[in-house]
Amino acid sequence: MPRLVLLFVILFWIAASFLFPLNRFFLPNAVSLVGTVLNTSFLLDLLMNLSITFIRVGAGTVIALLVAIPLGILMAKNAAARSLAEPVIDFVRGIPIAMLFPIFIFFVGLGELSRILMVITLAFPIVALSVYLSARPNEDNSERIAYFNLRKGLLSRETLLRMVIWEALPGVLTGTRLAISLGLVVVIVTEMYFVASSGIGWRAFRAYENFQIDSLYFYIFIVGLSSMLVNRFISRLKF
Amino acid sequence: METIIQIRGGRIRFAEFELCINSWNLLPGLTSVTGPNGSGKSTFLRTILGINSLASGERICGLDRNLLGYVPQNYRQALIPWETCRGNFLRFKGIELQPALTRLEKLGFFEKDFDKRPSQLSGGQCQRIALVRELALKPKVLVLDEPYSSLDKKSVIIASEAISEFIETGGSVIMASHQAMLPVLQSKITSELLISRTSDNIAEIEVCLV
Repeated sequence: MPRLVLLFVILFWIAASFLFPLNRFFLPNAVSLVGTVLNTSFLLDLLMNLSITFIRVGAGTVIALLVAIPLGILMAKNAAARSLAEPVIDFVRGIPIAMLFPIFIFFVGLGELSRILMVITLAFPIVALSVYLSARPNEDNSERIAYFNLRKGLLSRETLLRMVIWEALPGVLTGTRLAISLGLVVVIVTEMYFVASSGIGWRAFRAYENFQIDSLYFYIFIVGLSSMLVNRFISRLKF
Repeated sequence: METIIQIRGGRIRFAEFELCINSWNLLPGLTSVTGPNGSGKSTFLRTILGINSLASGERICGLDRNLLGYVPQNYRQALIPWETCRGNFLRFKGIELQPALTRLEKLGFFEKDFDKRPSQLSGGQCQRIALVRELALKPKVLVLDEPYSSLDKKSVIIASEAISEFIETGGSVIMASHQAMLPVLQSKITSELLISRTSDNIAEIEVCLV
């Protein structure tokens, strides 16, 4: 049903482009948009800038995961670790990430590192908290934890470690999805409004400055679509 | 007599109330634990195993914990989720695989079921795997929390015979079950623990020797 609705909307838009004089600021002409998009250099440029944005988001998210996952698991298994880490995580989470960007610029300058630090700072508390909530004893896993604790003498370390990771996995996946979505927002905003020379945000802002409204709408659509596809991919991972 | 498991002056806190047991010593044979829903049977069984702590009193266990077997009420949680049925035996040290698989075949398993993961098996199949695996680990004490909840009649009979055989070879079993015991196990009961609520927030465990 949703696909039929989408198809109807697209067909209506194409028909409207032929039949009515559309105000391109509110709704670009379908034909001219297709003409803009179906251009090799436009597409190559789009692909390159989109990749750069996702590389920034990906790098920050991966670094955050490497620290946040072990910390989340430690918080779930150790009360002392939790009592130390939780207030710090809550403190960092409470600071709007945009406030930290100038600080990162002071420390590491205007460049890739400051953007990646933004993503790390955003992603880290989200993932750590998600992993902690997933791996801690709760109604769904308390008997599993109890049983494998009792039987740990008969199991290898590898199995026990894998069990811990298994319990944390739902939190890892949820945290990663949230972190990527929010990281994308942060990176695109920094590309648009802080000095940048690459990335889909930068490209979109250039389109706005040059009144390339068709391209701007298309970039917005592509970012939304890319984010949706990445989220779908992560949500379908099975272990 | 060698102490297997003993509880003295035990008070167990759970939910909104307290479970009290003055003195209890695990006897060889079958110990039956009965009580209404929500009275604390599962909590008591976990305390016997040392999984839950006593709020006060003393628990003495003369056995290595590797000799304590347990099939929880939520039996799926005793299985390794990413392993097949076969893998759920192989991952544990000291299990002889073939006799265990033969026992599962008697309980209605087919060859193709051995390569399925718990998520691909029914509740009853998972419960059978959990029980057979615990027996294959050759514990000295086996704690069973509602071991028949998902089994069909025929499997209940076969499982009861397996438990009876375990007792005859010198094992002790503590079982909480709402189902009536089959005759093969009735004759093995050496004590009964009856849990009853004595007030709003206190329940007591009465020990009856058979």
